Formats: sequence, C-alpha cells, structure tokens
Amino acid sequence: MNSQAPRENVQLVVLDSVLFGTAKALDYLDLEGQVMMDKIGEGILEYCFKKGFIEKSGDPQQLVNKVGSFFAENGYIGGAQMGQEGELVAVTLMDWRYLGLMKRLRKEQHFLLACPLCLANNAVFRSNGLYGQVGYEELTPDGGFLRKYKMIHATTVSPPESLTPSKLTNLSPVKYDGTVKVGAPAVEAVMYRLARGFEYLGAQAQVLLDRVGHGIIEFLQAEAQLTLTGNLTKDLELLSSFFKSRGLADEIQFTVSSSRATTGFRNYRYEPVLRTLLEEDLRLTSCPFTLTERALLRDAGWAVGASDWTLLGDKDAQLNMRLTKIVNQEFDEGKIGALMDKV
Amino acid sequence: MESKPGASIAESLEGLEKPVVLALIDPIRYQDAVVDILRYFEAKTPRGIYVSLNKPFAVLTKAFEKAGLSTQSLFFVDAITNVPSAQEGPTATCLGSGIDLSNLCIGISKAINHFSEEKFLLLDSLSTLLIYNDAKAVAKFAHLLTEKMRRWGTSGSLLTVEMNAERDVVSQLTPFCDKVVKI
Repeated sequence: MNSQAPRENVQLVVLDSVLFGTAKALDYLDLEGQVMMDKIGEGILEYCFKKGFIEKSGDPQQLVNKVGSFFAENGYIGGAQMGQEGELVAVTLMDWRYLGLMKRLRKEQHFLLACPLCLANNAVFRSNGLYGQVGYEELTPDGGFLRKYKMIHATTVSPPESLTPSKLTNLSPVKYDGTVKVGAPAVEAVMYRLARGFEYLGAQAQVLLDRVGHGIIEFLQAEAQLTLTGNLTKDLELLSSFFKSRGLADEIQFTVSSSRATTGFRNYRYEPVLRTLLEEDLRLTSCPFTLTERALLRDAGWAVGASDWTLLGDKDAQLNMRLTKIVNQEFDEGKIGALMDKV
Repeated sequence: MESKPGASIAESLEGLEKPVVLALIDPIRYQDAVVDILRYFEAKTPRGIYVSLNKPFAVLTKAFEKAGLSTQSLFFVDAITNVPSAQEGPTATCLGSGIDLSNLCIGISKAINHFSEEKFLLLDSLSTLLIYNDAKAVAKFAHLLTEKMRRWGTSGSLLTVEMNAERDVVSQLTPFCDKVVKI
C-alpha cells in the first residue's frame, strides 16, 4: 500500500451531496451518463497519482487493490473481498459509505453509479478494455453489500448494457448517516475530477456544474434537513454555516452586492484541489459551497460572470464573482437588428 | 424538422442550399461533433466565421488543425479570451469574456464583413450564453441571428450541447431553422 494516511476529515454528507448533484445532473443521459460518471473515475486516479496517494501500476488487479486500500484508509469502506464465481466477479464491501447515497438516488429513480471507489475501478477496467456489468446485488447478513459483475469488453466511452442489476435490493434497512468522517484526500480526488471532468466542453461545462449545485441543495434539504427560506442572504448563511460545521472550512464569509459576490474561506479543505486547478490554469472549480452559492444566486435572478480566485497563504482563499441581474433582461431585437445593419 | 437518428450531417442536410441549422450536440461527442460540422460547412463554402464562447480561438485553431481542418479560411469571433478591450487581428477579433448579447451581435456583424466571398457562420454555443443570460433573451438573440444570416445569405449553424438547460431555447428556435440536427 502506497497511499498516505488521511490528514484531515470531512463529513460524508459533503461528499455525498456533490456525488448526488453530479449523478442527478447527468441522469438525463441515461446509459451514456455512466460514461461521464466513469470519466470522474479517471480523474480520481489522475489526482491520486499526482498527489502520491496511490502508486501507479501496470497490473489492473494490483491497481484495483490499491484503489480499494486508498478508500479504506480514507474511511469510505471498512474492507473488501473479491472472488470469482464462474464467469462472475463477486465483490463484497463492508461498511460501504455509498449505501445511504445509493438509497437516496434510487428512491428518486436515479440509477447512475456514483460511488467514487467504483468509478475509479471502472476507469481502471475501461483503460484495460473491460467493464464490470453489474448483474446481481444483495445486502449480506453481516452488514456487507455483495455485487456480482460480468466482465465485458468495453472502451473508455462504451455505455454499460444496463444501469441496474437483475433485481434491485431492498435498501430500506440502510439508514443514512452523513456525519461519518471521510478522509480529505478521497473528497479532494472527487472534487478535482468534477472540475476537470467536463473541461473538454469549455466554458459551457459550467451549465453542468450549475446543475450539480442545484442537486447539492436538493440533497441537503432531503438528507441533512436543511430548510432554505427563499431569502438569498439567509440561505447563504445557512449553507455557509452548514458546510463550515461539516468540515469544508473553519470559516466561510460572504458579501453580495448588486454587481459582485465575494466569498472568503479560512482553513479551507478544498484548497489543495483549488491550488492544483489554478496551477493547471483551469477556470472551472467544484467547491460544494460555491456551487450552491451560484445556484442560489441564479435562483435569485443573478448570472455569475467572471470569477477570480485568490489563494491567501497556505489554506485560505477568496473568490470574487461578477454578477449581472438577468430577471426581465431586455433584448430589443428591432433596435439591435438596426445597429447590426449599420455596421 | 429533425434529422433522422444516426444520419450524418451531410445526409441530414441534403438538398438544402444554404441551410441555417440548429445542432443539438451529445455532450460526450462534443469535440468530434464540432469538427464534423465544421468539416461539412468548410467543404461547401470557402470562408467561415466561427463565434466561440467556449474556448479561446488559439486553442480551437490548434484543435482544428490537428483534426486536419483548414483554419486559413476561418475568421474567429472570440468571446471567451480575457482582454481589457476588444482587439482585432488578422484571424480573429477578441471581444472579451462575458460580453453582453448586444455587443456580441455587433461583433458578429463586423466579422461578417471580414470576407467578401460567400461564407458560413458557426456559433459555439447557445449553451454558454445560457450561463450569463436569461433563456428568453438568448432565444431572441438566436432568432435575430438566424434572421440576419438569411439576409446576409450566410449558411451555418447554432450549436447547443444537450444539457437539459437549453430546452426552452431549442423549442423557440426550431421554427426559424431549416433543420434541427442531432449529433
């Protein structure tokens, strides 16, 4: 095992809200949505290699084991057992932190697999021309979760044959606990790829990220009993307080004027991701608070334009966003058409 | 009128002289789709205006050249590269990022005059405009642009990536385009 011990923790609900928002944002693509989700898995690996959390290996089985160890060390699974049953690969995961999120997604008829461990493993398999098509699953009596996969040939962009097993498991015994601590490196890896995953779409990738922001809010309202008021300032206070108490930062402060929103973070757990993204000259970011902030601003009739991050010292950061009011935005076709004719 | 599923761009637009097309792009295929649609118009029309709201023209130029497309025949309207004020060069005009719809219209009109020959226009993409603008305003902008394209005798396409946010604009714009193609 080459992964490092987690330095800091973040509550599971922070990670789950982002995964829920992502799965929901991509759900309309159906089977192809899983291809997009699996691309997040590619980035999880990329980030883990880059940061030294996981050592590269040319042997896919070894790499899958290393991925498993990384997520175990970061508290996302208690343990894993793999075995072969005829042509099926049987995987039993103990204390799999994804179960609560899976229950919520399935309750809303979303069947994309959003478990970061599975996405990273899917990426390993896809890069080796394979895909684990789930065929069977069950909750085991000792609290584990068994999934059986048929390995099929696939490319990095092949959609799965189906998103669901032959029979959906009754997940009613699963109780959601978002207060479980997950190691920051695992959360960072997901956030990093979320920002990079749709980079190839250029600036319009923000449309998807903004949908993720709305999904995060929906998840927090459903699973964390967060009740928004419809008042922008109050709701931003609620969200900043929520994310602060769940370990995203020690302090989150914001101001919103008619032309600008400024948000400051102290001891920001997203800072390593942000620093990496800025070093790579990327414009898109995936901090769950700022995604929800954008969503609330949009709902309040503001469009977010140019956004600039400033890193302040080791773990602090500030975001400045330019705002434009778009409620009742005017576009006079006659007047502008006449101007165009004069050019 | 929508294209048949699986049909190529050329098949979908067969028989149309100077088509004004609304292209709905599968997000997974975005990069390939943009190349495909540009290749189609380049094969038919000697010059083209490429309005980019997504990627800087320098990035696009490299990507298109890598895909074997000629960028000599293109003039870019770049509304994504950060510049303090509008700058015009021999192959592109940079309007600055986050530009409003009115100034984008003016910028496009100026670019149309860059070539005297027959030309096409690609707008990449309506999806990006929806980040900074209200959907109704984007629909009006797109309507005005299609109207001008017909007056200029310019074929071309307005691209939109299917991300479930653009449905209102697509439904409002469909009647004003010769064809809606899914790529």
